[in-house]
Amino acid sequence: MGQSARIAHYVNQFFGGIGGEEHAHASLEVRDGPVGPGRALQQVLGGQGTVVATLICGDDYVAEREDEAGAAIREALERHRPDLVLAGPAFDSGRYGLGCALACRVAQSLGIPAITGMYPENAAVITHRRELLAVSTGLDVTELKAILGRMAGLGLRLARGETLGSAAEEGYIPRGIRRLVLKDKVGYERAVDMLLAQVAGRPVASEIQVQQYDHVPPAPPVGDLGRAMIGIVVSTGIVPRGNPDHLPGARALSAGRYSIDGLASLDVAHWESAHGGFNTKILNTRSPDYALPLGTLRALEAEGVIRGIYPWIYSTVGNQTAVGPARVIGRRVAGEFRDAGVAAALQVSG
Amino acid sequence: MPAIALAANANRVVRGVQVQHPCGDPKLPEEADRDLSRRIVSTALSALQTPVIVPTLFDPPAAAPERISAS
Repeated sequence: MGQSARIAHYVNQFFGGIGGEEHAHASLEVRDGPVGPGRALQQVLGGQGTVVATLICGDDYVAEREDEAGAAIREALERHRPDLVLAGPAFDSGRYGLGCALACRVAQSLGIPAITGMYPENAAVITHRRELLAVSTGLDVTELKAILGRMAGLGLRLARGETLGSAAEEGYIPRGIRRLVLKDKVGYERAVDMLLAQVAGRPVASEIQVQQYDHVPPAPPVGDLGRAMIGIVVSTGIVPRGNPDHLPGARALSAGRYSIDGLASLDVAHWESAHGGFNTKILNTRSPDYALPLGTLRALEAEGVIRGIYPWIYSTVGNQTAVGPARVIGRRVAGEFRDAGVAAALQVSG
Repeated sequence: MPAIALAANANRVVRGVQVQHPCGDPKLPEEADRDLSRRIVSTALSALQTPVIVPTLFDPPAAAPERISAS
C-alpha cells in the first residue's frame, strides 16, 4: 500500500460530541472525516493515513442492542471500505469498551484489521480477550494522543499486511494466544546466557515466571495397601469427550469431577485431554490412559493389591495455573477424599 | 517432569515417561507398554508406603531382563 491508508474510527457518543450519558441511547451515526479524538488521530497519522469516516454510537445502544449496532457498523464499513479500523481508546469504560470490541470484531469479520485501546481490566478485554488487538492504556485521558499514536502505529503495520510480534514486544494486551517461535539459540545456551548475565549483574528477563512454593508436611505412609481406596487426580486435563465443563487449556481456575465407576479403562471415543500446554495427540488418538492409568489400576484392584478406586476423578489443566486457584482445588479434592475414606491419592501430571 | 514437581515441593514424585504420555510409552509393543505402565503405577503405590521427610523422587525399576537359565 503505497498511498495513505483509509481509516474508519469508532467513538462513543461522548467523544463523538453528541452528548453525555443522556445520549447513550443514540444509534449509530456515521460522519465523513475525523471527529473529536479523530482530529488528534489525523495529526499523528500525518500522510500515512486518512480518517475517512467516524462511526459514533451511544454506549447503551451498543451494549443493549448489539445485533442492531453490529449490523449498522457492518453496513458503514462496507460502504466506506477502510483499510483499517481504529476504535476508541475506551480506557476503563466498560460499555464503550464493548462498543470498541464490537467495531473491531465486525471489521475483522470483513477482513479489515482493527485495533482498539483499553485499560487491561476493561470488561471488554475480559469478554473478548482472544479476539481483540487492544493497546494497553492507563486511566489518564490526557494520554489520549499518545495512545492513538500507538494504536495507529500497530494498525498501519497490520494494514500493510505485516505480522505483529508478541504482546510484550508490541504493547498490546495479551490475547492468551501462544505461538511457536524459533530462537537463534537453543534453550541451554539461553539459560547459560541468563546465568552469565545474572553473575555479571546485568538485567535478566526469564522466559518463565518462577514462583516459590509452600512446603507441605508429607503424609504418613499408607499402612496396608490391600485395604486402601485410591483416589485419582490429574492435571493432564483428561475430561469426557466434548469437554462439558469447558475446562480451559491454560490458567484453569477449577477442576472437573467425573465418574469412572465401572469403567475398565478410558478410551478416545469417550475421553480426551483438554490440556493446552503439550501435544495431546497421543492421549486423544491412542489412549487417555497414558495420562490417567485407569486400566493399570483396575488390574491392580482385581489382583487385590489395592482395595478399590474411588469412583470420581478430579481433573484440571496444569498449565500456567496460579497457585491460589490450585490451592482451592486441592482443598476441595482433599476434603472430599478424606470424607469418603480415600486412603491415598495418585496425581498424574504431564 | 519430575524437576517441576520436586520444585513445587510435591513430597512423593514418581518419574513418568514423558510429558505427553507420563504413564506409558506408545512406541513400545503392547505388552511391554502395559508392563511399563504397571511398573510406574506400582512405584507410585510403593512410594505411598514409604516414609519421606523432604520431596523425594522415586524411579520405576527397569524392565525385567529376559530370564536366563544359569545351569
